[in-house]
Amino acid sequence: MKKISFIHAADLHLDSPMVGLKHLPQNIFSRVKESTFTAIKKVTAAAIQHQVDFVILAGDLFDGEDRSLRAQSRFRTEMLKLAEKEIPVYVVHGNHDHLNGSWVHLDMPSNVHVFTSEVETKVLHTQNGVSIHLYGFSYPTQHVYDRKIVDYQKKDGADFHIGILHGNESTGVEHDNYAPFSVNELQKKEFDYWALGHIHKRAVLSETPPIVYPGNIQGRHKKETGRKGIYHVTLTELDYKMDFLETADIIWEEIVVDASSANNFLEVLQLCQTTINNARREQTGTLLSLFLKNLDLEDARVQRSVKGELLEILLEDEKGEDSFVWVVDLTITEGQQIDKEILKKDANFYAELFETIDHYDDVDHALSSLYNHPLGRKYIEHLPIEEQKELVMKAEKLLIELLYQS
Amino acid sequence: MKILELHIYGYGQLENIEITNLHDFQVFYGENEAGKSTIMAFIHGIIFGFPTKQQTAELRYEPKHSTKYGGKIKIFHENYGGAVIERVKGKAAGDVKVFMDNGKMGGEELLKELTANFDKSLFQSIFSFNLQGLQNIHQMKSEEIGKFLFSAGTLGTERLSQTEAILQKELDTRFKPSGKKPLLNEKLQALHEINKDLKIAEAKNRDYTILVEKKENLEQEMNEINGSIQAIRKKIENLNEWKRIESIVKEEKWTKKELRELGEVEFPVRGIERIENLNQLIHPFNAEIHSLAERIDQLKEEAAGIQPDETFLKNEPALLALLEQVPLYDQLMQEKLQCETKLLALEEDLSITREKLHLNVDEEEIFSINTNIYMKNQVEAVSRKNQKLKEVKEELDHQYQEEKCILEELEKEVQLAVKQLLTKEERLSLEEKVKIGNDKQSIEVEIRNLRDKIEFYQQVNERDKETADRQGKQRKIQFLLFGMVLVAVTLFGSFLQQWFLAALGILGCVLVGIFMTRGTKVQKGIEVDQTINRLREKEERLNQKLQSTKYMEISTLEEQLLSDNQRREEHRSLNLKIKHQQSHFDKVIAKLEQWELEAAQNKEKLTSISRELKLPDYIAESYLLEAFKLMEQSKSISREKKQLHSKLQHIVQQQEKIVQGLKSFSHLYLNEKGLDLYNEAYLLRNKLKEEHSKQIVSQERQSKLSDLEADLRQKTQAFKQLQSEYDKLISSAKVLTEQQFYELGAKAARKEQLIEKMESLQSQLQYSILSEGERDHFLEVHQSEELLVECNQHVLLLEGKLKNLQENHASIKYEIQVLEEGGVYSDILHHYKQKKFELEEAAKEWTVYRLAQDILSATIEKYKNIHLPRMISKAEEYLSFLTDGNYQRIHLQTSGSGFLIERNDYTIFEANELSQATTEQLYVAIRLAFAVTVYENYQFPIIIDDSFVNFDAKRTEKVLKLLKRMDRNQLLFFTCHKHLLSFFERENVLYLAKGAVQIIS
Repeated sequence: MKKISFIHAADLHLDSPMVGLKHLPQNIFSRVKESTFTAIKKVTAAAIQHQVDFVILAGDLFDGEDRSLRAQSRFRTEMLKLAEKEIPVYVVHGNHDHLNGSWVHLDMPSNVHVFTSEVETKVLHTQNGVSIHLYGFSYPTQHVYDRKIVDYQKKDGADFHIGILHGNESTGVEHDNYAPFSVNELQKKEFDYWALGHIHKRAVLSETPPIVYPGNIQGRHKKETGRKGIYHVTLTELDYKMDFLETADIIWEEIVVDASSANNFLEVLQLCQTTINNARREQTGTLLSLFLKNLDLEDARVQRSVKGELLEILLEDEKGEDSFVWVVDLTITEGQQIDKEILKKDANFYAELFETIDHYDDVDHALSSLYNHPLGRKYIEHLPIEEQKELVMKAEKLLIELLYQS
Repeated sequence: MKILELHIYGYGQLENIEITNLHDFQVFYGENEAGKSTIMAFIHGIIFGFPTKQQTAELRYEPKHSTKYGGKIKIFHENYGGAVIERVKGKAAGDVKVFMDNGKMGGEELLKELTANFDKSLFQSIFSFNLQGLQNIHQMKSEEIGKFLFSAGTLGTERLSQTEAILQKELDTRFKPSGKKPLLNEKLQALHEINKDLKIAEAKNRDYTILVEKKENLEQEMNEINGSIQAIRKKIENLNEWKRIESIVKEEKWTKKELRELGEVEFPVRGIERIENLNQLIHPFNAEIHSLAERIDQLKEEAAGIQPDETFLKNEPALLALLEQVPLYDQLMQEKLQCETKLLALEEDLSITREKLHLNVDEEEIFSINTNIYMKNQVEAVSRKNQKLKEVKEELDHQYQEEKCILEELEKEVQLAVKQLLTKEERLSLEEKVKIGNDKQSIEVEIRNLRDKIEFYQQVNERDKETADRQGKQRKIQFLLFGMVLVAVTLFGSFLQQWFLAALGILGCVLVGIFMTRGTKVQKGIEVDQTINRLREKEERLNQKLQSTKYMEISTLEEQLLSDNQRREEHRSLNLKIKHQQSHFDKVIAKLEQWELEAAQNKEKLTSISRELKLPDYIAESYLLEAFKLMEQSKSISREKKQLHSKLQHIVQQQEKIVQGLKSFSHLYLNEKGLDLYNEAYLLRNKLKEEHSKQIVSQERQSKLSDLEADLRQKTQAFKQLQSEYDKLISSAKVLTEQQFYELGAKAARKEQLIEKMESLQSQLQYSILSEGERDHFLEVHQSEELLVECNQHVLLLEGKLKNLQENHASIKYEIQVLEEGGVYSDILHHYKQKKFELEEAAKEWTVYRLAQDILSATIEKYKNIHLPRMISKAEEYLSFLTDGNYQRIHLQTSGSGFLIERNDYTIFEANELSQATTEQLYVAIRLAFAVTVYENYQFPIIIDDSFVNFDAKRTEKVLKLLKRMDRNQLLFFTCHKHLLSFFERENVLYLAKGAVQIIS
């Protein structure tokens, strides 16, 4: 029976800085900085351990404008490890590491096969005498909106056909619609496996044949939660087997806790600590966004200290921890919400205030003083609409607090 | 909402007091400490809750001496009707119970419904004002008065302005467009610094390519220098080597030159030695050869003396044979005589036979006649045949005669039979007659058949005629009727002058006529009649034929014919016999003819044989055999004769030979001539003996001589061998003389010596690192020492340079490594991103404050534009009323909050610029305007706590007049000034006695 096995990874984003972190202690910051490298090391280690026939990297190896020499150097080091074991690597470049970038290029070892900007076929004969056709292309520029899938044409003469495509499934609207395709289109190509990239969330779009987004190998911000890794795929003429292997050294998590049962600071603290300990993973760091909901403390001073000190206390314990759970974001919402309708009745002014907020759409104007600041303009990006809305809500809350509450 | 009754269980100093029947404009009068403030606090406390312990700003009025705390108020609500609110001591704000007149009961929730969610502060800020409120204005900073007024006027609290202040403060601590200290400014600055670093690092990243290039260049340069160092080192090594081998090389060169001068020397190996050896061998040989030659000459001389007659001795065998034949000579003589006699006898026999045959041929011809066995056989066969033929002939002649007789007899018989036969004509007529007799019967049969047929046709004819007649009649009747109708039509037509009808009728008549005539013809009957006629004619013809035949006697005729037939048969058998006999006769004749042929052939043969045997024909024909035998006989006699002749001849020849041989020998070797045969033989024999002895001596000498000669030959051969070797040696050295040879030998020895030396030199040079070409090159170089020094210096120089390059290379390599691995850029980038996030977070916080501020100001702006104008116009109205039109207009500050007041002379004042009383008037006017405009839906009682102490009488009157106009709200007026009481109706005033509340009606 003819059989091949390979590693399918995508969206390495090597050395891309994590977003949404502040005031990290040095050891954790180092871990964070190294996390993408740790992940790629795990990828190569897995390839060597499982003695795979080859490795597929389906785009976005580097992170566009932030592509560092270190990233390339480390990547090359890892590729050399594979070269030593004679494991070929098939690489396409995606929108983030497209071919037209002005960054410095390091030469890669000969086992790294990079696809050109037009869809092409690479032929591989494994040591077991199995022949494979790999199809793919690299992004010539950042924006590729063409339906490149049309150019993928099966060429006879191989035991297995594997498509490598960095692009967006057309129905998904959350991401840039690069090189769009539909699952049906891929299925029609009658390949044995589709190694996709671009979407950072793991997804198996189809079982026959497997059409797979492995997700990125390391979460990079609080939206990219959960286990991250690669697929170790084994294909035979009859069936296939896919093992998910974790590669992330640091995992982003988001946990919502109902704090309504807690009556005092200690209880809140204990609740949080329990939550944190439950979230802890052995030998893996966790960056946690913690939501405390329905916090209902009578004592306003306790409430203030929860807001002010809780986070500090929680973080204090994690500073020296290898398997740390670092709360990056603590959001507390109170149980008692002010009834806007009642407020409106209370005073006409509130009605006007809410009216104003409902129709408030001139955020940029309000923020112009910051945005017009020579440095502010340079370093502070304009907020997306959702975030603007969120901030307006926060402003509303603030105003109510200030105006209404004693 | 109106307060109808108060029942104080215990509140401050007041205990168990009931106040009932409160008016719409109720004045509470009492001296200080009479409990006015306590009652006000009670009202607030019952409706909005007791002040909690934390609210330190307000008194809780808990009774010092009583356990009862709280009380109840009876109210009438314009929407909900009457209700009692009871609040007693309980949790923080007290336990409240509400009993509605409609039976509904409830707690805090129900109360909130009744109070429309107003809280105490809001209530106080709009519906309740005291002296402090007014006095606070005095204490406020001038600019804030307006703000306070605005905030009080909008929210009823100072919150708005406070909020604005807080927001502004927060914003200021976070960010100032041109500041340095605020948080965001600091962070921005810090980020900017990091970004600069990042840019530098990035630039270094860009340097990376340059560095890599530089590194490659350096490596290349280093390689080149390494190469040249290597080359120079090699050169130095070569020079050192040269120093070592220079003398050897030179010697080698010298030797080589010498060798070259000696040139090619071709000299045999060990030539001298060899030639000396040869010479030693050659000399003894020479001597021996000489002595041998002398001895041979001696012997030759001796041998010449006793030379035997060689030729005689050579003929010895012939001579001996001759001598032996001498006795034979006589014998031959006798034989000769015998033969001659025999020959004569044979001659006789031959002539006899000849005569017998009468042959006219000579002897030679007889031998040519063929008498071999075949001929003999043929002769016998021919004569036998001849005999046989003669016998056959006789028999055949006899047969012939016999056959001939039989044939003639038969012919006679036939002629007789022919005469008895009928002639042909007679026979034909007979036959005809018989034939006719047979025809008659067949004709009769035919006639009968014809008659039957005729009868049949006649019957048929009659039947047809009958039916035809019947049909004809019927048709005629039909046609007549039709004709009559047509005639009638014609007549009718002509009568009515209808010509067409008439014409039609006529045409019809004509057609009917035609049909009638045609229909009567009968064709069938005619056809049958014709057939009958034909048959009758035929019958007649046959009858005639029958009658014409003559009736003859057929039987006799038939008999004649029969006998004739018999005769004819006989005749035929005779003919057959004749034919048979004829064939017999023919056979005999044929045999005769054959015999004649054979006889002729035989004769011909006979003739040919006889001719061959040369016999006359007549003898041959009858005595061939005998003749042949005679012939044979004569032939054998002749042969014998011939033999005898030849024998005779032979004998004569032999005799001749013997005589002749002896004669020749004696003639050659005998001195005596003319001797007879026998003497000659004797003498010859003696001579033979003599010569033999001579020969033996000579042979001895000869053998000795040959021995010597052989010896000489051998010696000479060896000598020649040596001589040739010697010559070869000399010639191989390509010289002519031995002297030259020796000279050349010396030269060769010298060369060998040189070559040996050369070899030793070369062996020394063989392992030198310098090639021959290099050596030659170095030979031309003279200052090798200087060159060596120079090279060493050059190497030092290059090594120094290389070291520099290596250092440079190492540093660049390090730099590259730092860039690749050290990740300064990456570190800064990560740091930058983190800081950026921090900045963004801070910016967001700032944004929240900024947005709150913006939203607030926007709301205020909007509020100003919509609600305030109404309120302000009301306030203006009140102010104008209170100030007797002195101040008529109130303006909003264009920015921020606060009011501007316009006097009737159009002078504009800020709030703090007004007099105390006017400010208070403004305050009252605004408060009231609020209550009736912005909060017009809420009809709470307006509680006034001695607020008008600063007013003069006129102003007091004015304000009270104004208050009385507020008919939508209950007014609770607390005062301690007696003079004011004159402004009110008496029943509206409630007197509070000091120490105990007393209602004075």
